[in-house]
Amino acid sequence: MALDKYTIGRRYGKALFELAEENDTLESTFEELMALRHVFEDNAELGDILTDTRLNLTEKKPIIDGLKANFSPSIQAFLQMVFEYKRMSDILFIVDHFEALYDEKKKIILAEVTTAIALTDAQQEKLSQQIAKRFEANEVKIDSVVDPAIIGGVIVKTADKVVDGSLRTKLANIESLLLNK
Amino acid sequence: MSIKAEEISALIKQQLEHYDDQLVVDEVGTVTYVGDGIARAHGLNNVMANELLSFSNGSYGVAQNLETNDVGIIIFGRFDDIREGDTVKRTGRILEVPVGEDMIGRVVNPLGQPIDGLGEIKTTKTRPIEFKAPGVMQRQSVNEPLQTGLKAIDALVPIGRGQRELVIGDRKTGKTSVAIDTIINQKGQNMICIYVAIGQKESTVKNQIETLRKYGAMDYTIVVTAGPSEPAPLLYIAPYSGSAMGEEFMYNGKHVLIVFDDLSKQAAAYREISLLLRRPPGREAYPGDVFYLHSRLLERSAKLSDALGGGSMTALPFIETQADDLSAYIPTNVISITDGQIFLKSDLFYSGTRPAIDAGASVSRVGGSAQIKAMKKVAGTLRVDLASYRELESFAQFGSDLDAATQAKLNRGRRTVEVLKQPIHKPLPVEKQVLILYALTHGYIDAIPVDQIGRYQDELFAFFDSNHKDILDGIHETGNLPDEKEFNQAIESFMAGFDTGEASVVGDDADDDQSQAN
Repeated sequence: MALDKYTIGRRYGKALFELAEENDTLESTFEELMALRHVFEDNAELGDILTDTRLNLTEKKPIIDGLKANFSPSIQAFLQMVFEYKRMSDILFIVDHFEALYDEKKKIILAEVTTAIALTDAQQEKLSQQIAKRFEANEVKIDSVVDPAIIGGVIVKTADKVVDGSLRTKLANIESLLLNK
Repeated sequence: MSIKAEEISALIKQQLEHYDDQLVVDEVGTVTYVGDGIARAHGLNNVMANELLSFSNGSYGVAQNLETNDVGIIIFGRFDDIREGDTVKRTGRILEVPVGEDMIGRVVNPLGQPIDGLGEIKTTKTRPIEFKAPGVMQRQSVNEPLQTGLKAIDALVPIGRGQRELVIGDRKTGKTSVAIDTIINQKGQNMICIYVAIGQKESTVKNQIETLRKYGAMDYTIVVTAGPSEPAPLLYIAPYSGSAMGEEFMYNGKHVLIVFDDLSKQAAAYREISLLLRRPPGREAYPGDVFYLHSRLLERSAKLSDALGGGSMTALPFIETQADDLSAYIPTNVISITDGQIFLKSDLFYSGTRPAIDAGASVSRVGGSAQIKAMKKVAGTLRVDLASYRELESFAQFGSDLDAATQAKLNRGRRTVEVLKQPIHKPLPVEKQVLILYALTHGYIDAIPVDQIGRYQDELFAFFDSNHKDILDGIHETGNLPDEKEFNQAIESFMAGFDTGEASVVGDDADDDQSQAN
């Protein structure tokens, strides 16, 4: 059975992370990978085109060379290897896993915050302090989403935990409580 | 009007008092695959095996496969409106069904929700559907009889309370009738019956329920049904939830009879789930733990020790065979788990021997100790009689001259088979079974023509009901045979009045003169 994308992401991501840790280049590698992710997100087709058979090797060569040019030697080697093993389509999963390991080490939490109206900077700052306390993190990166459908309150979503303090959920809970009895 | 509004708001206030406005941290995952009653979800890092999960559409599922990247979930309920990317939430609970007295008389699905249109079931108690079976110290050996009301079973393969007796046979051999008759016969026997229909046609189940209702058996019966149109996970859990409902009574010192009709369909449902969850297939494509599937279920039926109240749960699991093949995978498994089997054969069924019990292949490993003394005495030689009859039967077909002893054996055998026949939904109380079997084993029936045995039996019962009720009551109360002289006399006085002539005018004294010597 073919390996699924998560398994691939985990293997390559872990290898890259450990290598960066050994060479003491964690920060720079992280920066570069974020830039790499940016490139792949801007060109959604890039990963697939470098992996599948639409182009032959000589046609792919200039693309991969162009991609590698701006990165440090270690990332260049990484990209070359991923390319040779035909895993370019899974590169985002590799970067995701690297980021997860990096965040875990640095105790950084990525939180998706959903509110009915946009948060002010002061509110955001206060909220991130609270989240940091609750999840014992050093730093909280907030990704805010505005969704008027939740009516009020806030929903904080981290990797696999959700703190739902929205008015919509509260009303739904009250509704089910009243209907069940 | 204003008063009414106040009342309502007071009521709502009271209910809202219980509303706990606490922020809870939910652990969630993302659905990556859904279909055929199962889903896979990414995330859910701390989920436990068999934990209940809730989907965003309100359906519930149970975590089955915990793998590195995802969790395999079986879904109970609608799955056609679950989408890839939906969230699945942990609940921290395991699957439970409502149990208790209020379930009796109801028809429910495997989740314990009523489907008989008789309204909500008001019960506060629940039990987990998976429960550890009682251990060695919590049990005692089977010592009370469970009367099925079927002569062939009560005499040849007696069942005790707390026993697991497999009923096995091809399709259309009367397996379900054995169960329904047994349930009907439990009236007034201090028994609670649970009929678990797994993958049975809804029309068939409807008929069974109507039959039970007609004979007043729904007053002490719970029907759990998962029809063929339900998704496989519901069929898979049906016997477990039936057992959970039975355990509630068993652990409260009551006696329960549970019928699983049938486990081959449950095994097929489990195979379906397992293959969809990508567990490796084994023999006949069943997963590796298909033995455990049935062993952990049947172990939950037990006779509890007196310290635990002495309750019992008797299980009648059914297995459907293909062309009488007992050596297929599921039949051999379940035979090895149970305390004996009742083997129903289609050729017996079509030749008119109903219930079509194959006396040679059927055994009961523990029920003998639970038989009442009177029955033990009269039924002692029955099995041997039948066996030697079957042996001689084929031999006698050559038509050669037979000596008197062989003739006598053949005669007795033919009559034994005839006596053990019984019409559907007419269970007999044990004292009457003892009576007819006594008459048989003591040679009273040897002189009766085979085609009149049915009439002979009916009239014998009627005679004893009106003239010797005390003897029947004596057997019922003491469990012992009555005084032999008295018993023989009573039978002889009946024989004197029995007309063995052509049964044209049944029970009419006037045709005594026309009777022919036989």
